[in-house]
Amino acid sequence: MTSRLKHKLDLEQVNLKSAYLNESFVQIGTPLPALAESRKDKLEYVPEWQQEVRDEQGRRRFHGAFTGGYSAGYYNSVGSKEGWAPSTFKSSRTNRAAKTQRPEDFMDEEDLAQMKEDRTLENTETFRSDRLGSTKAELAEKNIPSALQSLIEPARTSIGQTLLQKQGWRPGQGIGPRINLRRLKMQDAKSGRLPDPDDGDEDVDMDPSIGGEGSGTGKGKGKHTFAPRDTKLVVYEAKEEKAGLGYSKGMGRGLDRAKPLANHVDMDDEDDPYAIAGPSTSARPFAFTDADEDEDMPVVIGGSAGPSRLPPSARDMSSSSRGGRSDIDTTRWHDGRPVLSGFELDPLGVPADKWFEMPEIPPDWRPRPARVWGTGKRWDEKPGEVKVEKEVVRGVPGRPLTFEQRGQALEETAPITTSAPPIPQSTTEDGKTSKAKSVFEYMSEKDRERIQAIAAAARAGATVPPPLSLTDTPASSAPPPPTSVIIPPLSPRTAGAALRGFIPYTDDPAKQDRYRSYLSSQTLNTRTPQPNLRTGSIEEINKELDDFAGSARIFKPMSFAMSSRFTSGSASLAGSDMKQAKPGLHMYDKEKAEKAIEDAKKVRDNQDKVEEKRNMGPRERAAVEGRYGVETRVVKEFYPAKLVCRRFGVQDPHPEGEPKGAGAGAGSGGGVGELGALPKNDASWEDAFIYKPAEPSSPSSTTAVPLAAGAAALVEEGERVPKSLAEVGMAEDINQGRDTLTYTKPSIDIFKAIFASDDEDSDEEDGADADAGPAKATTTPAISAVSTSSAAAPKPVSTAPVDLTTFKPVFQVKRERDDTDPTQPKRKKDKSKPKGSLSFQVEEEGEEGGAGGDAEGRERKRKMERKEPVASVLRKSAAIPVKETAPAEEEDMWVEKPAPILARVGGGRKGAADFM
Amino acid sequence: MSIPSQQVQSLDGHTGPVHVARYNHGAKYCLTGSADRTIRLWNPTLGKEIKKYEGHGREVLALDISSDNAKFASSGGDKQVFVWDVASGAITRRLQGHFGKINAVAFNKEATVLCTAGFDAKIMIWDMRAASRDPLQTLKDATNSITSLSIPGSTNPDAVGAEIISSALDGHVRTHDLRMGKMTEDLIGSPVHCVLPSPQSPKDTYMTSSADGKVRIFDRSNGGLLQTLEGHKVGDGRVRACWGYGESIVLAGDDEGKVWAWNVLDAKPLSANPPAPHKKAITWLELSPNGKQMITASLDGTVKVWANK
Repeated sequence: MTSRLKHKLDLEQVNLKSAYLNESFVQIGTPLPALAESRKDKLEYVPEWQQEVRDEQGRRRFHGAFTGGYSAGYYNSVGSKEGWAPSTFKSSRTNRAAKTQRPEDFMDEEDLAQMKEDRTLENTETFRSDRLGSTKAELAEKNIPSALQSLIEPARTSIGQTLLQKQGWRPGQGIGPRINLRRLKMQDAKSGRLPDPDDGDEDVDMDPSIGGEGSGTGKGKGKHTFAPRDTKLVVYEAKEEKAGLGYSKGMGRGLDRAKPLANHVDMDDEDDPYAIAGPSTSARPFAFTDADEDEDMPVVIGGSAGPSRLPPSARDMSSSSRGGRSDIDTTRWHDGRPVLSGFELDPLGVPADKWFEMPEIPPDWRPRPARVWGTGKRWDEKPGEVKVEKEVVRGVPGRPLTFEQRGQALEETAPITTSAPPIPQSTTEDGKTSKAKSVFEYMSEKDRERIQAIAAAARAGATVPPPLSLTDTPASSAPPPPTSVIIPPLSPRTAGAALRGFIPYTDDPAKQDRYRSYLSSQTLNTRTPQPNLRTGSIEEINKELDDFAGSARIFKPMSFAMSSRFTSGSASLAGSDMKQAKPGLHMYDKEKAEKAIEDAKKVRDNQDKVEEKRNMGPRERAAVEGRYGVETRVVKEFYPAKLVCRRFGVQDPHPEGEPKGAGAGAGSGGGVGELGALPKNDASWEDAFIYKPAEPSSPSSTTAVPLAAGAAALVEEGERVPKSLAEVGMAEDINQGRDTLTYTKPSIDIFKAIFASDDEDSDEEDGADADAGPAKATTTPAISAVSTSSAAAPKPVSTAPVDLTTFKPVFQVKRERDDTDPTQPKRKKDKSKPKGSLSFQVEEEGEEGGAGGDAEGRERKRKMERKEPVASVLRKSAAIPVKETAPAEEEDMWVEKPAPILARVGGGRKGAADFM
Repeated sequence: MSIPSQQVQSLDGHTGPVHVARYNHGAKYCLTGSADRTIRLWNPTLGKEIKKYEGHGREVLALDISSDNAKFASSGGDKQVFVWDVASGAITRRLQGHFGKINAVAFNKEATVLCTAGFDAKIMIWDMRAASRDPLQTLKDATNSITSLSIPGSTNPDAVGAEIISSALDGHVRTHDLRMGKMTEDLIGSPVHCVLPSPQSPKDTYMTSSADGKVRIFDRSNGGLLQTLEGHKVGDGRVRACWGYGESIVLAGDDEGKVWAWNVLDAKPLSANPPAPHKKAITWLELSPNGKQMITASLDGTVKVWANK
């Protein structure tokens, strides 16, 4: 048909390829076949008898259009390939055929498929549970009719229930192994349920072996086991009404929730709590209060809404409150929850908050916050105070004042840099600077003042008192020769101490007197403000007075230093007067005993204090006791960085740099390091620590200043190594006698020089200057040259190093004893020159002398002269120990001739001349 | 023998306790540092504030002015040391290195070196010539917070200062003598709040004020005690003393705001119960070099200027 149509269209010259040919406008009837290739009828040229009719499933429907015309036969469900074959059917009287017909037998394939589709998988009736299904619809379905039905019908238990029951479970019990009473109570406590006797009985009832007589008795506790409590099923109720959260219907605000609860519980109080007789009648326990239909309901029959909803104990509680009791239940919270077991609510309740009345606000008050934070800038300003604003000449921020403006504001005509008052010639009113500038303008104000002061002094012819002038006279300029006697000031304290202490210049009584008078002139409230002055030039007088001041400063702390070394005898004796047993009967005296206890306490306190002091260390103790001075001072090496020195404009004091390790060793060695460092920097040392008036030293001066070097060193050493000092000269001093053992005998010339007659001496004075040696050096002045030589024989040569620290004081004490001859030694020492091997003292100084030049030698000489006062001081204050130790020590040393030594010791100070 | 006892001005600009007040060299102006984190420049005689220097993050505890008055150093609770240009008010240097609050700063005489010290018990010596970040040297002798520093030459133009005298809460006064290369350590016994060498003879004497309520004058040559002055009440804060004119009098501030004065010779206070011009403790007092004027700074936030009657 399409071909014909195509042919026809072709004849009319219609484009067959056009897409419009497939357009169909047919609305009723069957359209002509499509002309497009894709939709072509495939069977167009197949003859009709060869065409097959197929159904939707593709099965052939007609088996020969002219041979029957309907679908039947083998493929279409009937018969077999061979044709119609009837099924066998046998039935006899004896053997009846038991063929039953089913609907499926009459169904064809399509019917069967339809039936299969309709079939769904679902539980059988047996497994369909009433209790487990808890959807709202199901619950609603199971209403009273079904409850009634359940009474009538035999109770059908679910398979789960059956299984559980077969395992020993009983309705109302919890699931799990049986537990003992203690665990049960714990469970109760955990679930907030109060134990009560009924409860126990109920449980026990289930156990057939126990009977009804209560497991509450103590003996049953351990024996019996109990089923665990049923766990509560938490039911979350859907909130459908529009009331606020926590609001329950029927309860007004502020109503006690416990009461309706109690009412509700009362109704089913007598029920068996564990009977599962039907579904819950209402999910809400409070619905009974206002719902009318609920009251009609025979709720009680079916049991409570849930056995676990309320514990029986709570029910008891509420039933006990039935008798009109309306006070607060102390076992429940206000919202009905039980209080934890063991706790109780406070019957008084939480005290209400205190509220105060608002203060009366005055009617005319109006808030003004600016008064608080606006105006009052200062934190301690009172609001009422009127602040006087100070003029600030800082200028506007961002545009600071120029210095002229600022100067104007500050009423300063001159710029800041020249702080001097304007000199009339230099500045003129119009700001121009005159060309003729004064020299003074280039000087600082201070310099100008000084020049004026000098000029004034020159005019007045009087000296300006140095301490009151603001500017010191510069040290660099040489001081003009003094024109008047200047009495150096001394603090009254120092003067008083010096006056009480040791008075030097024992060789010159007149000088001593002058020294005393100077000191007394410096004491507080003195009656003799003018000291006696020596005769001589003003320069000499000034020098002597300066010396006096120096000595006073030195000798004042000396007394402190020395006294601190020795403890008083009473303290050491305190241990000896211990309690001693008394003969006779002991009578208990209460007062006495108490007093003794008190005393003991005091003593202990004192001991504690002493202990505390002892723990402090010598420096701290000295500071606490106010003994400031050498005892509280420690001098250490300090190594400033090179650049720091350069910036400060001083030379590096340690150009060799900081010693690695060695410095630490010297420092830790207590006084040794200090003493060791002493000779190296002797001059500087003196400079730094000794008061020295700035003047050129003259050889004739008898100043005692450098003496302080030795003295201070001695004291410092004593302070540093107090232990060894205490041992010095004692039996436990390991170094004792070592010096004498290593002592080398001086040459006979020295002995001659010392012990020969005076005229001999004077003869040799000039020639034998070099080997005369210091007179003190011998240390054995009492012994003749013969005896010394014999004494030298048993001397073993000891190579052990001599400990200078411990050795030196001993030596000096001994030595000074020898050479403090008031009449003789002066002259001898003057002529004596140091010689290395003469004595230890000389040895030390010899090293120093080697380093120094001529000036050093002179310095040393002076020092030696001054050794004498130190020695006598030492002896004076250290009198006791010397006396104690000397015999023992010297017995060791000179066994041969002890007698003269002892005699000498007894006789006090005796010089070499005494033994000649 | 008279002390400035007539109040002429009160410098009330600070909004917090004033910790430090310093005269410039020439004593025409003064700088005050306060807990309100500012430093102010005043003309004390006129009582006018000239300039305000803001930059510190915490209280200002120490100030020192270079001898040419062109710059000054400040330090405080923010562990920073600032060097300011006086005229422009700009910070020219910031020195960082301390890890505690800095109680004291001191220039040397030529202002080539700045020493700072504070809570970390270190004295740091900074080079003012070169802009290095690290100190030239750090002196770690102290064992507790250092409270004051003094380089004697910087106050007295005639003394050549090559010493750094410091006081510390460990009860020591330490003198680092650069010329001799010695460190002298004097034990005072109680925490020392300030050490002040005598302005006229810094080599001979210094004065310490310590927490036990005593002002002591020491002989520097041997460390001996020359005088003990007491009577004033000492609280928690630092107690500052100051030498009177001519060193015949010593002045000290009190915890109750009183200014005490003692005669040095007999150690007696001029008045046994001096009036209290300040409401709170006096933190600093300084006498002008000519002795005619004095400034006292106090915790009550005021600085008062006193003149001779």
